[in-house]
Amino acid sequence: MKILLIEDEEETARYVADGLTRQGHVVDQAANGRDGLFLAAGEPYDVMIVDRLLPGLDGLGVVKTIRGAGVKTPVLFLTAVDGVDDRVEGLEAGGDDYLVKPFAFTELAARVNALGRRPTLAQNGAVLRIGDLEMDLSRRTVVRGGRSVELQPREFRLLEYLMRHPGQLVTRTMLLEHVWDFHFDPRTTVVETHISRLRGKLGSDGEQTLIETVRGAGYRLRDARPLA
Amino acid sequence: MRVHWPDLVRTTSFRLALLYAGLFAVSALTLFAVIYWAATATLVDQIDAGLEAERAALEAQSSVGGTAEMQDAVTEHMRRPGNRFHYRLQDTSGRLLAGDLPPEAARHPGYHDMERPPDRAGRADADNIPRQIRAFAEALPDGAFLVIAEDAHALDELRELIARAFAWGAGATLLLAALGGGVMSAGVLRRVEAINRASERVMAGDLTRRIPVRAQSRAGDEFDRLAVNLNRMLDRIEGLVEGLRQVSTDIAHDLRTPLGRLRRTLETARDGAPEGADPDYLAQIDRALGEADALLTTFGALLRIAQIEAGAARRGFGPIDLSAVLEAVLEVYGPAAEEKGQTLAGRLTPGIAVIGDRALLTQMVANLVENAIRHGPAGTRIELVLMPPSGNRGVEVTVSDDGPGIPEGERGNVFRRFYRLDSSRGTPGNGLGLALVAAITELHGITIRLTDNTPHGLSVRLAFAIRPTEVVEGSFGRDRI
Repeated sequence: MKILLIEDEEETARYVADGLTRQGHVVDQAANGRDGLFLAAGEPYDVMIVDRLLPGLDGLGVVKTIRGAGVKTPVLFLTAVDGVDDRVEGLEAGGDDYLVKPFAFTELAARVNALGRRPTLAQNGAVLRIGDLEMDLSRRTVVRGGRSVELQPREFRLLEYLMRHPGQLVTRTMLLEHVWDFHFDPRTTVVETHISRLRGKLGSDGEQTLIETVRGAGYRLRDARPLA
Repeated sequence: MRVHWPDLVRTTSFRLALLYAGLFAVSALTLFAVIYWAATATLVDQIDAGLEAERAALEAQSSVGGTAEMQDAVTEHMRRPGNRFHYRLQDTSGRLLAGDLPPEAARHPGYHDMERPPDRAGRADADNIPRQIRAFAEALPDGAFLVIAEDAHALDELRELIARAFAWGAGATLLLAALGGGVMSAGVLRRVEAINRASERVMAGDLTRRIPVRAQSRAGDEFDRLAVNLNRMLDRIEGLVEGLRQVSTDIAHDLRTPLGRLRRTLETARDGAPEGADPDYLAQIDRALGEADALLTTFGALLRIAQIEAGAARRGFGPIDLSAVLEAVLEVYGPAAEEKGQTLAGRLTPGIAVIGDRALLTQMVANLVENAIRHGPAGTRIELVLMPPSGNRGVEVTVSDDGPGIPEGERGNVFRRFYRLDSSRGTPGNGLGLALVAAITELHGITIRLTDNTPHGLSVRLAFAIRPTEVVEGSFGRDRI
């Protein structure tokens, strides 16, 4: 993916750029809002990572401006402070996701990947299909290997989120934010519990575990074709 | 402000007013005594002079000195038109020789006042003699006794007039002094009350509150000076508290950067580990990363509390479906409780809306439910109840469990930052969960109360203020706890 990083903190910028480059992305960098705006206007990017606090034109201003110009590139905001309503402000300005510094690189990478491969509305079919798993969004039904799976509404949303990001790492916080709308870190193993329940409902003996655990990072829905 | 009379009577200024009235009354009394004495003395002198002149006239007419001449003189004077005197001339045996005064008028020689008792019929002046008289008596050389008297009614009237005037004057003075004292006290009390109210608000935690000072043009009395001084003191206290808060926030903020760097370095070390590295070595790095994350979480929570306390989030307030928030918390934590062998149940009235910050209210309820799950043993029953407003009470949320509970003496402490019960020191946690809950309730005007749950356990009651709530649609499950 081609990624634009607008970050004035040199150390963070290097850390993020190095990590993303190692993952095979192409990263352009800007150290202030004006340069960032210039780059964003000139070239198409898959994802933009924008620090909220920038010298000169701040992150919110940059994103508002490029949105005003009709650029639809997904934007991930970075911020130094976990402001209570900073998140809402960021989203209102046209940001798509929000990450508080300091962050684990895996968290950032997972979010960037999720943003970059976000299916656009046109690609949204009424049925999601991953391997032998099938989800009918309009009829709210799930079928695995021809067997119907009964899910609670929230479990349905959890599986839907995983199925919309097949093969990608989905972190615990991403699930909390997108599935349950929780914007804090619970101190109990709620996500783990829900995942293990979903696994129990989806998989039975002889079938593969569809939801893999990525140790210390999150989960991944297997994108492999079903074994014959 | 309403002035309460019992309060008023206790005030210093009222007592001063009363003392002032007392002193004033004493000086008025002295004045009265002087006026009374001077006025009556003058009148007495006048009467006495008249009596003396009459005696001299009588004596001149009976210059021979005989009792018979005196008898004639008295009789002649009595017949004179316009005579205002009364007389009694008696011989040594007390027999009346001339005059109209009764026998009791003949007393010792010299001047004296006399009040005649009413006669049997009850009429004092049946014999045409006034009741109040001032008399002059004199023994004549031959043993006869002469009494000359004048009506002293005017003297009596004067005395009465002065006394009445004084009584009215003193009464009015005392009344005015009391009223003036009351008005003065009320004015003073009002200003003292303003200072009291402001200091109560400050003690309740509103450090931005100041004592009202009157407009500059009218300012300058002692109360204004006191208010200005107290306000300066409050400025200083606010500055100090703000500084303290700022320091802890700054520490949390400033330490996040090096901690983040540490975290980053550890991450780089782990990710850059050579193929086939010692798994123990990698596990150590993972543990260090976990520690760094825990520290960052603690600092994050501290900053969040500071930010909520600063009231910044109020900008993001809006109507929120509280029922849906609690429903989500139930749904998220239900399985986690089950996994620990506990039950999490809810009795939620649907469609309850409140004004607030959705994310914060979710976290508030989630923290309380988490606490119950984490500190309760297997088998603990946790219940989440949402009740609609009724009567004079607003929306109420109750999180109760039959776990170990919190000892009564500790209940005030658990909302303090980093405070942990001895019994929970073994469990993971940073001691900020309830401090955050307290900050969120404060921001939303929610009253939080910890009580015993019967037969044991803890019940946390969150009472929303009445004003911003409304029931969106029909409700069921209104049964009381």
